Amino acid sequence: MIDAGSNTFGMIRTIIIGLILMYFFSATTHAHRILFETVERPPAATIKAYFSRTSPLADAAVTVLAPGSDQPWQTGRTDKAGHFTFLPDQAGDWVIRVDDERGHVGSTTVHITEDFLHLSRHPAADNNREAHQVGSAVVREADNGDLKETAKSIEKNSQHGDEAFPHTEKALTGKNIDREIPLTYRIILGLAIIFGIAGFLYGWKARQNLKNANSAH
Amino acid sequence: LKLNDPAPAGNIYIITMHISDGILSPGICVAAHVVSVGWIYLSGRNISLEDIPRMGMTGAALFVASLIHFPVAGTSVHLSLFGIAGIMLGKRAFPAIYTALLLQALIFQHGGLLVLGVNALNMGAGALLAWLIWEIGKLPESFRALMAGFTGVIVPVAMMAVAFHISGYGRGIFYLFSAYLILAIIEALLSLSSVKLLSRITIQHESAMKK
Repeated sequence: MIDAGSNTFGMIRTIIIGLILMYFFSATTHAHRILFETVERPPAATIKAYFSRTSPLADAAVTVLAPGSDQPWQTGRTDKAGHFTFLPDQAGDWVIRVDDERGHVGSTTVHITEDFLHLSRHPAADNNREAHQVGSAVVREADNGDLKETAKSIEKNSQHGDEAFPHTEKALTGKNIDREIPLTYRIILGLAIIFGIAGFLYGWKARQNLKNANSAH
Repeated sequence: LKLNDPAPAGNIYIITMHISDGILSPGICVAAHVVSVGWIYLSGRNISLEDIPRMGMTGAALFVASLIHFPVAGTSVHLSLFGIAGIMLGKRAFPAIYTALLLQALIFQHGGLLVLGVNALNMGAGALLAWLIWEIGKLPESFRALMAGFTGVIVPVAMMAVAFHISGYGRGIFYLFSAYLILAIIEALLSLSSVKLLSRITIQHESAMKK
């Protein structure tokens, strides 16, 4: 251990300031949580896995578990944009586990309804999409408070025959992501907590030392 | 074992020093938490007053360091600074590392709360070994600083690779290692420059005190 007294703090302070500056000038910062979007449109269910709007989980291993089963029902890999599509054949909650084999895992569920299965088996019944809209899209984790609105916008978009993930642009270009606490604030929060803990312990220890010194007299 | 394909252009993969929740069995995670708490207790015994702000400062540096990414061989790695933490804090490094990881898990979603103990032990082991290397008196200071910085990265990565291997991963390990070897060299240089800076400041401080 280096014994440089208070100068150690000065140096560490310099390092911290340097690191913060480096952070602001570094091009890539990432949260490591995996976010999911799902779209169920008979007969297929599709998920999109991503870290942020610029980094999808490409070529990640996917395991699909059928409702009530813990054995893999299907395995595969996501495409370059983080998509994975499968054909559910039972109603219930399908669990999809994604693993990029670099230490990031995440899972999401896709809820399959009887209506979905009916439309899968009888595509003709799907002629009138407006009447039988069962496709729903949910931005999970990134957006929990706004499910209804998102689903509504999907419904509206799919009536116009848009591509799958009509909301993706919207979800990924700001609205939902921005609702999280900005990274800068999270950094400040973390630093404040650490300095708070250290300050509390310092005061407590100093008080203890003072008491010991007083009782020695 | 084969190397991973290089990442497609415009898509930077992140490999992380943190193990995510859901990879290791809950038993191992709980055991690691218990050991971590014990280690924190042992590290905190007979602590001196001036160690506390030093630990806080180093913890803050560790917390922020993980946000600084380097593009390495088609992927991206982030700083760890465990070697420097070992040099600065010695056996008191573990509580700082644990706190930094806890806040990273809570605030940045790096790693996870369940697996926090395992991550902290991996990285604490790196800092501890870095400190032991730093304390070898006979070798020149620069060499010890370089080795401490290097150890602070390579030991946690090696332990993490073992953990991944135990839980059935094969494919990513070599790739992980090669990318982190470069990070280890970066951190070795960083640790050397920190030690040089610190000893220069100390000398200036002492001469100023004499006047």
